[in-house]
Amino acid sequence: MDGDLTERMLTDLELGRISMFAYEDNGEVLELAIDGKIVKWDIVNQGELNDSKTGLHGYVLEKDGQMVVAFEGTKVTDNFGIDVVEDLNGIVLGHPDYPLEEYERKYIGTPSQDAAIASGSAKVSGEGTIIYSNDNQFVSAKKELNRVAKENGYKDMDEMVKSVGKENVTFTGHSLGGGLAEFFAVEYDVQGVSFAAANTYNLLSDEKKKRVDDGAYREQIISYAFLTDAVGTSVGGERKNALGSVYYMKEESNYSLNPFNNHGLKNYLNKDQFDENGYYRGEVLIGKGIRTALLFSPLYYKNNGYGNFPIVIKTESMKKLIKEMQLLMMELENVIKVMIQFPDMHDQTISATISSFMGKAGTGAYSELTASDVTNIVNDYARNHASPALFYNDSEHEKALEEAMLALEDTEELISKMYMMAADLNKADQVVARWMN
Amino acid sequence: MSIIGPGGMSEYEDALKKAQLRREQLEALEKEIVSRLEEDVAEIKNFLKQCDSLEENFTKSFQVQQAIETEFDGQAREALLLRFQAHYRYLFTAANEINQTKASVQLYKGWFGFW
Repeated sequence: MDGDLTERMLTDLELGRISMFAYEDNGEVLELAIDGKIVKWDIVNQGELNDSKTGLHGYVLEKDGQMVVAFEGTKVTDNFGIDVVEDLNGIVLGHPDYPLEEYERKYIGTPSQDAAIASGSAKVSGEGTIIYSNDNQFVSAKKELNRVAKENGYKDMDEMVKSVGKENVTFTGHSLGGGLAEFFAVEYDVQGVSFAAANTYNLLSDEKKKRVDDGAYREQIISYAFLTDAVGTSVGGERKNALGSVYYMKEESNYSLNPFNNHGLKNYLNKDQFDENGYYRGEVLIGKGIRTALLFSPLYYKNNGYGNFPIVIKTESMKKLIKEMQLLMMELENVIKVMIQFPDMHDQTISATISSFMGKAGTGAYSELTASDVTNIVNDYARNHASPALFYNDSEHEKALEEAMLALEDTEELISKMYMMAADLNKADQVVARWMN
Repeated sequence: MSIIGPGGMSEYEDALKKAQLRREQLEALEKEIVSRLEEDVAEIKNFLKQCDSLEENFTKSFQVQQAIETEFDGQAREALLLRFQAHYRYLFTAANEINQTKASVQLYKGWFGFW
């Protein structure tokens, strides 16, 4: 790996620690000891994001021309599981109106509209419409981000992001904070890395949903989750609803069966999970389907110039599946070998038996018998009177061998098509379409 | 004087004894050969046990198919999944025929005469 390049690039470990820092109140500076070096992140002017009413908290940090926005997730309490569900309720069951400060509907005087007006969460406008107002972390995050941008001399966060450069801005966070990070990474079209993030797909506008569906953010947003994490898994559980690319962490044997116990950020920050450069080791990441390790962290690929890293990782996955199929092919070859050897094995076994009794005929206990007596007895128990007699259905054997050869041929063909897909996944659809026709 | 001809009763008795002895020896030989053939048949059947991995192969192929189902998307995925359906048929038929062959390994007492 290129050492200089790594120094300028954010790693999985660094982003995980920054996400952890987002849980601290009144932070001043973030100093991380990474691989024996102190990495210092400064909080931008007035860069602590805070809204006690909605519980929003986080930081806008900077280092060497890079900006990271980190959001706090749901704090762990005794009622952790319940809190998570409550916090996520709005976004899991959410709607694109949810992150908007205000949204307008036609006033038709329904009891729910009147109740909203009575409670102060909506007001009637002069145009025969009702204007609802939202008060949640998504709304307050947008306000807070714009406030920080203004404190730093920009009109709003859009302008600040443009000034820093979209490629130099990363949103990160854990749990609900991860959901906020992914949501705003899409909003500002910047980078995002999340841990056990709540899925915010439902909160996106139709236009942004379409971009997500088209894979527009696959290379910009990386989500890490444990398959057993009730919250994080929902990110990738609905595959098409993941905002970016989802990668799964390999569970250790001591992981809890309680899905909420695997949700904590500390599970993503075990020292053993990282390589010397601060990237997740390939073997702690798995594909959801194959459950086998990746070669490298997706962030490693991204930082090392693999613009199409999701394709690279899929190619790796396909190669691993090919290896599985090759092992199966070898097993099938062994089966065929056994089937080919079978008649000889049978003949030798039966011939040895016949020979041993032939030697006994006419002597000793079998003094009155001859070799033909031995042959007659053996034949009496055989399927036919071949030489040596057969004790199995030979036409069935021929059929079985033929079918096993066809299965082998089929496996080889399947593997060759998988190879073609692995060679160029981008063109795979065309290749396979031709194969089908 | 014996009513039996020259060689007399003793020749007939000898022949009778010899036939009796031969029958006893045949029965003993048959018993011994059948016992040995039963061992042979078990050994031959056992040899085919090496083919049992084909059934595991079926399960492992299914796991690969599931992986493709969850890891990939697009037309290529759909085509591969369809192709796997055909693959299972090949494996299943082969495993089934091998099982039939294995089941056919036996002693066929009276089977040949029956036909």
